[in-house]
Amino acid sequence: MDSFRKIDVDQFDEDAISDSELFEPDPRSPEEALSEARSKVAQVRTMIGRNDTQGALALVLTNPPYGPLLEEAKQITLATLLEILNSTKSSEISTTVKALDIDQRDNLMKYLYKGLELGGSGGEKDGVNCAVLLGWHEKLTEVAGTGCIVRVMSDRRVV
Amino acid sequence: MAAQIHQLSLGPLTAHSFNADRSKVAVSPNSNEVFIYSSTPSGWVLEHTLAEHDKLVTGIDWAPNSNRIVTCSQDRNAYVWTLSQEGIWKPTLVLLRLNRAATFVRWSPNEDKFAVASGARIISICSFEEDNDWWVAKHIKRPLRSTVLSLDWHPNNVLLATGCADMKARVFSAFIKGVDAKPPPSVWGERLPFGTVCGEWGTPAGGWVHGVAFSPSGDVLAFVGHDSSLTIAYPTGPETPARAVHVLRSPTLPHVTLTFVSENQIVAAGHDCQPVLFEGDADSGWSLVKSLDTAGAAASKGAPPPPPPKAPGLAASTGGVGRLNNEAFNRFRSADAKGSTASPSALAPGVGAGVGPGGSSGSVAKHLGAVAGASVGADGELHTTHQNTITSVRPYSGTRENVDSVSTSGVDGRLCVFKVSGGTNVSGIQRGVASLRV
Repeated sequence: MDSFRKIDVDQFDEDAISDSELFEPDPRSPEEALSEARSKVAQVRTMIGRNDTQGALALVLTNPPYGPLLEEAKQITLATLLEILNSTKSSEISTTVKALDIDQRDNLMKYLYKGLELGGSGGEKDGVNCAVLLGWHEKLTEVAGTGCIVRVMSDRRVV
Repeated sequence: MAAQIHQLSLGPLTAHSFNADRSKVAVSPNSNEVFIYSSTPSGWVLEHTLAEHDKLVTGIDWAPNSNRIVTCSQDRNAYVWTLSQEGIWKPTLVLLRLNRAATFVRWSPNEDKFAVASGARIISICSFEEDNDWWVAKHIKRPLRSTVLSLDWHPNNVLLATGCADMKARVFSAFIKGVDAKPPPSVWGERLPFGTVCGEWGTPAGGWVHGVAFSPSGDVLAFVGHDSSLTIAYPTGPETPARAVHVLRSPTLPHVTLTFVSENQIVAAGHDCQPVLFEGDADSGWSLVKSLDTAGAAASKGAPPPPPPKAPGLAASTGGVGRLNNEAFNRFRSADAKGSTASPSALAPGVGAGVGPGGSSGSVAKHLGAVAGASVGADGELHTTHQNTITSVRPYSGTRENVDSVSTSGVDGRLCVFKVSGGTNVSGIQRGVASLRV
């Protein structure tokens, strides 16, 4: 009944606004982003080994790959981040979140919603544990406020 | 707490504008009509109804010196209203040549032209043509890519700031030959033919630009976006990079409207239901100072303002809710609607005491207020004067360089006046909100 909502009306509009006008693409090429993501995985593993969740989280959340062209790098980054989130004790979440800067908090919120989206569509897979993500979401919202959520919704630089 | 609260409508107020001496106000109660209320000792009395538009009125501006009102509407038209000798408001249709709704209208400082924003990716700059005795529109099209949501005029009567849904705030030249004298050179440039883009900035996280404002000197541009951001730009010239661009990302819901109250102070308001004051300058950056409302102080929620004036077109309030508004009724209603077992007044105060950085921690459920930016109390009540989004904040008294109080209107149908000097310090999560230089 509401299938008309899926019709792409923009194809009849010569002047339609395109994605490239809405946000700056990631400056990195897919290859660069991929190798950067892989090197971060290795660094994060050693950091987790040293019990440095804080540093690992900050590293992953700084300059994460975004946009439609970097799918592989985005996948790796998400998997790495979920690894960190799942291995953090729930009592430490608050202090960890407080130590992040505002960009990192906004990025973390993006990943939380992405994780919840994946977890919601097909149960638990790829290390997505919605209960853990919701725990982080609660603590992050306390620190970063609703503004952080609004920014995730408005930002088209999708991670 | 607001100095004045007037419940002018039970529905939203889409726009409001006071006359020069603040004795009358024009508002649109979310309909195709504009009501002009006059201030009397017994409250606001409906004086005139301007009914010429076919669809929702989206913008109203009352020129203080020439005493003319301009209104624009979703019917794609604008009317200029002049008061005749007999005391009747006479409309003059303005040909905007738009194919989408008009969204916003403002008189220029000299009141010899006005600008209408629209959903057609066009801004119509209208000026009066003596020969033909009508208003003519000139269009600014490029590089607008989406609906224009707000406008503000530079004090030199030539430059126009625009906030657009393509996530950009821009400054255009709206120079009309024969109306304007050549403006003196400023930080926005020297040669300013019609349609020149003198500056363009984006929001940090891709939010629509909801509101724009020039500082009293016109040398600074500020705008708020739907990504809960406030950006203040200090340009130096058309080809040179800006002296400074400060960005504040707030932990609260987005602001939708703002105005400068002095060269170094901004009042912004929006989905957070309370006007807040920001202070700063180019070198030391900007920060949140206080709320002009009593938000966060909780519990001190004042008595509701008198009901809206009875007027044709306004839904008359029936006795229903008011008559039943006693403690027992509220207790059952909150148990039913919110599942709470105690009456709101029995809940512990100290709501909005924060869980900000370095603050105490607690669960979201317990500290709803702190999370939402201290305007929602733990009892789920909004402890702000406005009970819904504020859509317009405008200077009310004082000079342009030093505004004493501002008037606000919003979705809750209230028109309030807030003193800039009043208010309470923000608490919790909002404390220490400061800008980053980009």
